[in-house]
Amino acid sequence: MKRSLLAAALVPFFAFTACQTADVAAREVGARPEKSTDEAGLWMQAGEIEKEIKRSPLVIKDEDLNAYVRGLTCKVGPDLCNDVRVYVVESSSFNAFMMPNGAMVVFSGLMLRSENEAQLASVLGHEIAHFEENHALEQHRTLKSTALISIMGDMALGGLASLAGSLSLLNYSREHEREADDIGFARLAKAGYSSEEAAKVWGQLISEFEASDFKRKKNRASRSSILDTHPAPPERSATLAAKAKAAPGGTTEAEAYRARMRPFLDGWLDADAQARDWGMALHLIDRLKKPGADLGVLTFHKAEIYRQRGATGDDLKAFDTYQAASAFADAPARTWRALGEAHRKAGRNAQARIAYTTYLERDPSAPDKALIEQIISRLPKESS
Amino acid sequence: MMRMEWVFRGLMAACGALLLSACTTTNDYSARDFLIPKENAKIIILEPTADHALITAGGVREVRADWTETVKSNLTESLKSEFKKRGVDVSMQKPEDEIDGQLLILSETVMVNALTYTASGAVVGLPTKKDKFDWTMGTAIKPLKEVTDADYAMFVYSYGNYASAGNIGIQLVFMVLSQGQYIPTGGAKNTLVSLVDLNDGDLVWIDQQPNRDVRDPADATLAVSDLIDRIPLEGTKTGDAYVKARKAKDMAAPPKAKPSGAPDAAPPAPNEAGS
Repeated sequence: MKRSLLAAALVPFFAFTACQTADVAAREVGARPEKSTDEAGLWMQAGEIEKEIKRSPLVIKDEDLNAYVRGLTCKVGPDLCNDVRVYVVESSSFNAFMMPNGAMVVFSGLMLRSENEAQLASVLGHEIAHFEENHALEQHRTLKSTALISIMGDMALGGLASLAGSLSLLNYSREHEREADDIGFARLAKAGYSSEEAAKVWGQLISEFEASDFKRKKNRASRSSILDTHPAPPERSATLAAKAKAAPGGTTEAEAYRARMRPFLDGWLDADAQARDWGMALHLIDRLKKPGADLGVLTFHKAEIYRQRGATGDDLKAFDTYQAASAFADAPARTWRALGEAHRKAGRNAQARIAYTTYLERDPSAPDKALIEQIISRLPKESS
Repeated sequence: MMRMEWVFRGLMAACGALLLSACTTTNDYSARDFLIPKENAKIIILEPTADHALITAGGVREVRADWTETVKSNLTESLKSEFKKRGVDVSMQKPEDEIDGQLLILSETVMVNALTYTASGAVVGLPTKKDKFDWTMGTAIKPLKEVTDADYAMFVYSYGNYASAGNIGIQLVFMVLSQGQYIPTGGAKNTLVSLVDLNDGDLVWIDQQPNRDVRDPADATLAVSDLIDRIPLEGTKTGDAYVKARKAKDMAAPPKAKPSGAPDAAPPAPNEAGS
């Protein structure tokens, strides 16, 4: 029964796909919509959301970081540089989005996961393509015509037409994503970046999903569905990799990129761990460790994951990893607080005292300073 | 029937705000039995917020920037002139900074909820709001008080969903198909206004005008004039009626102004002086 319903829905689905003609010409530089148009309405709505974003405490105000991401945006979109506004927000998911009016939001989770400038730039190029090609307007117009056909079709087919209409809208969305991948790729190569990196973004995401503790996320890595808004990562990765073969060369700027992200790494990894998907979190840290930079911060966060995961033997693993982290110059002060905790729990009071004291020396304005001082004062003197 | 259900759902979405404007009898909602004196009360009006859209033939809501801007300027101009006519000094406050922006969103939410759930005349009365009017914007109002040092702030929010000719045509088809069970609508619109005490954030008065199409300047002026006349404020119709009622009761005492900042000793009662 279900199957035959679906089959019946597919017939009008193809009819919808065939008659989608909402193609809008590419945006001209500096273009603004006429007041009485549907586009002006979309811009107004986007403008309201943009006001909200500006007010959001999640927006990262750091001037250097904003200037950097804005600079990259202009590098891959020199033509639309003055039409696009960039907002960097603190959010640990791998995402970025473009609004119809040129407001672009870049998530910290995307920046944390990118290994170099080229990778971030490839996503920025993709988002600029959505703006350039007026995808939001095309979606809106297609929604209007599809809704009308659906209503009329439902009179004859009883609900099937609207199901088919919804499926065709999702299909249209995937078409837009493919087009944005294409244009983003061209923009990346034109800006002189290594175009191989565009495919790597998706390859990395697939292996991160595969490392997940949760079955549903694992499946997300490769499974595609007619209900998806985006093509599945493997398809995007394969398409972009094939294109890259024809356009070799270019730079990645890995070191420059990591240097820009360095001040935020510690905080972003904290935020990332809140998803409590330890498989994914460990996989990400190991991947970021490969270039050999920021080993203190990364090793500390690996220990944090072991500590929070709390599986059998994780206490010991966490302790060893904290110790390993403490050997690196860039280990966060919290490493020593964690070591102090571990020593105290094991009754090694002298070592606990040293570790706690080191913590307060390294972070004299620690928010829990008073608490730690009290713990130190209560440690038994001669028991280690 | 299956297909009708889908359509009904679509149409409901198209006029989602029908709930509010369904009560075409305009009710005034007032927290306290008091009159605001026009000489000693500083009233500010925040720039109206608006959201007016076309419902396309297929039922998609398409926000119209031109209508929305026209509504905002119509309401702003009418507010200025209608208050002036009544000899009440008000100043317009343009919501530019963070404080006002957040407040506007809060005010929309509180107004819509107050008008939806307040028992008298509400479509969905909440048991906890029966026979009392205690809606408040809370301490969130404080920054506005600090910036403006005003006594009252007026918030105005106007929305509209207007059915296109094509949409009405489709609705007519459904009326026929449903054998009259479905009644076509031209959409829904409403303009909500609230007056908030800046000392404690309490809504002292709130009302709505769902019948006028405020995209039209003349209609906007009539809507605003009608709304202002229902405020318990000296110089408005309601205010004058209040004064008369007091005199009739042979109360020699001048109109009692609510002491600013001090909580009311008596439980809030609906303003009986209203229309």
